[in-house]
Amino acid sequence: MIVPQRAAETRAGWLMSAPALAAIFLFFLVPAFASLFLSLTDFDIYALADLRNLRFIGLRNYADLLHNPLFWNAFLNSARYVLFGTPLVVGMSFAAALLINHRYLRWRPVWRVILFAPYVTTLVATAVVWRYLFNTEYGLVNWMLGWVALGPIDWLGSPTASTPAILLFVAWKTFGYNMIIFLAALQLVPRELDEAARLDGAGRIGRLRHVILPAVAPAFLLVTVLTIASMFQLFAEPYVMTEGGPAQSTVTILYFMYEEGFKWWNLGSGAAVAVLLFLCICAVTLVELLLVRRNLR
Amino acid sequence: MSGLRIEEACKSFSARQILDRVTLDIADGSFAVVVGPSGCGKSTLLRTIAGLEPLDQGAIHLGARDITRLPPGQRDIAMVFQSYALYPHLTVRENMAFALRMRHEPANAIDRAVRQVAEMLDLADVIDRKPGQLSGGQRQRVAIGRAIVRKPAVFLFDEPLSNLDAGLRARVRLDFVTRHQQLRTTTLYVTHDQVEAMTMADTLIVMNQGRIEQIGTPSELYARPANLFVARFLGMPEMNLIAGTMIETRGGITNVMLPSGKTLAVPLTGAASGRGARLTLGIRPQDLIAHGNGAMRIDASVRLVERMGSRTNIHVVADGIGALVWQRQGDCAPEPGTPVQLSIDASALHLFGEDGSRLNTETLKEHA
Repeated sequence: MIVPQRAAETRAGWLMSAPALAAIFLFFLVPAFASLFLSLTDFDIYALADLRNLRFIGLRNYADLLHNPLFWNAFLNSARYVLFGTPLVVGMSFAAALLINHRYLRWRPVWRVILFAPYVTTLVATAVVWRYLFNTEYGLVNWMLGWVALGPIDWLGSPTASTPAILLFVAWKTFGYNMIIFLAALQLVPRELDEAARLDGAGRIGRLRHVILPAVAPAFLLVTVLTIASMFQLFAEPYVMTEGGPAQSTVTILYFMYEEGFKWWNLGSGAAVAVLLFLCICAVTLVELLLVRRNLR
Repeated sequence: MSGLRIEEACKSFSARQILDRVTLDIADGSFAVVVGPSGCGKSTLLRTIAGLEPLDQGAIHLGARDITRLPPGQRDIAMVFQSYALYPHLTVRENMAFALRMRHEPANAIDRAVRQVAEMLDLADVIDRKPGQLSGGQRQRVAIGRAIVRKPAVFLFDEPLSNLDAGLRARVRLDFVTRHQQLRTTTLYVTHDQVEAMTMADTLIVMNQGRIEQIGTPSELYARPANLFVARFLGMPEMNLIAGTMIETRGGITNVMLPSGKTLAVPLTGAASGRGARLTLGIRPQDLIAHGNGAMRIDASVRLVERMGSRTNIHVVADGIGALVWQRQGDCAPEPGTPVQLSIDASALHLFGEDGSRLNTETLKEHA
């Protein structure tokens, strides 16, 4: 009998995926919906003390946020990180993957480990090291700029230089992970494709454009989506390196959410920031997917 | 004039010598096939000619041009890979047009050339499909079309039929020969399949361990293998090899003693070996004769029968010699264990010296 067997298979499938589904439900869906609910309340330190103080206030948190210049400052800062940080990280990752994947490179595993290492090092420890590197008087970065008669630049003390400084640190810290994704994609490109293009007269740029890039396009999409999401969610880097300063120039949306929720205990407002951030990431990702799909057609 | 000449080509990877002083002349317009076992260096030879691997030593000339140091795109050589290497994101039309686009040829000239080749290869109906939507045979034709559309001086083929099923392979083999007769472009074709090699080649090149063992027409190599390797490599089933010892050479006849103690008179002139030298006698399975009156009679018993339809391969164990394969025309199936009497026609014998090289130089029996 075919039907009972299929039913048994379906039941077994649900049973086997149940633990994972339960974990997703408990640790993702419940908190997500709880945040959505919290964002519609005035949950604050008084409500923490006594839940009877909790009031449903509809979309007031959202309305307040949209009229709050500090929120817009944080939003613009995050947008800046996404706009400049994403191409920087994706470009660095892809360039590193191309170099590591080069057939004549020696000591490949060593290079792979060296370039991947920043990703697995402790963020706070490396951020402290980078603070020293960016030190105006004694930092290595200004010392090197001195060779070309530039600087010194007050990297972490100037509102204009602090964002590039943090972006450099973020790019250094995260490009290794994306490099591994690109490397996996590059290693799946058959060598014969590149060789066929060489025989067809394509140069390095031609091969990159016509053979390699189309072959790794799905990896590009994945890395770009992940990088945009991580750029929108920057928190620890500005928190450790600049504490949001100078003059709020490095406060990101997540940093703003942290301050709303855990510094000023406006948890309802903080949850509203989280929901807006989620919608923002969703919107950007959807636009990106639509653009890619249109290009593929 | 676009004959291909390879002089003293050497190539090694790490400490392993892949090509060992390979010298080769392929006449303009000929269809040369390189055949050899896996790892013999035949694909590396092709890749060095294409410019995908640099030579350690030696030179490659295409007509009067020295192309040894030229990049692949400037050699005027097209190659069809075993995997076809079609660009998966491009349509059949775009795949075939790719090389012409890289040369910045005018769009209408590219379109005309692609259409012409697509019609020639029966690809007009699928010209706007991507490789993933094609059958194995169609992909293979696209790969050939991509090579043809460039009008190169030389075609290189790296085992292009190995991914096709047996029936399709036989059809495409004929197709290859027909196309070559139309285009007359110098072609170097690499395969490990001796049927492909024997049926397609004008010039057959047998390679082993990075060296060329023998060059000639397929029938020359089959009838007069230069050494034991070529003798065993060409022919299906393999040539029977029997160890022997030279007794004496007199009047153009050499007497050879077989392991069974029997002697055999072989017509042989100019043998370098002396009395007592170890020899190897080779006899093709179809040259063993049933109940014949050949120079030597062999008593054997049937061990195994392979019925091929039009012919039958009978594996026998011969007294004092060991295992032999006997090929008969038609379908016959003696029972295992049946005693048979075979005889050897001495004019069909191949004789090899201690170093494996051929000893008999006279014309041997013509094979049908």
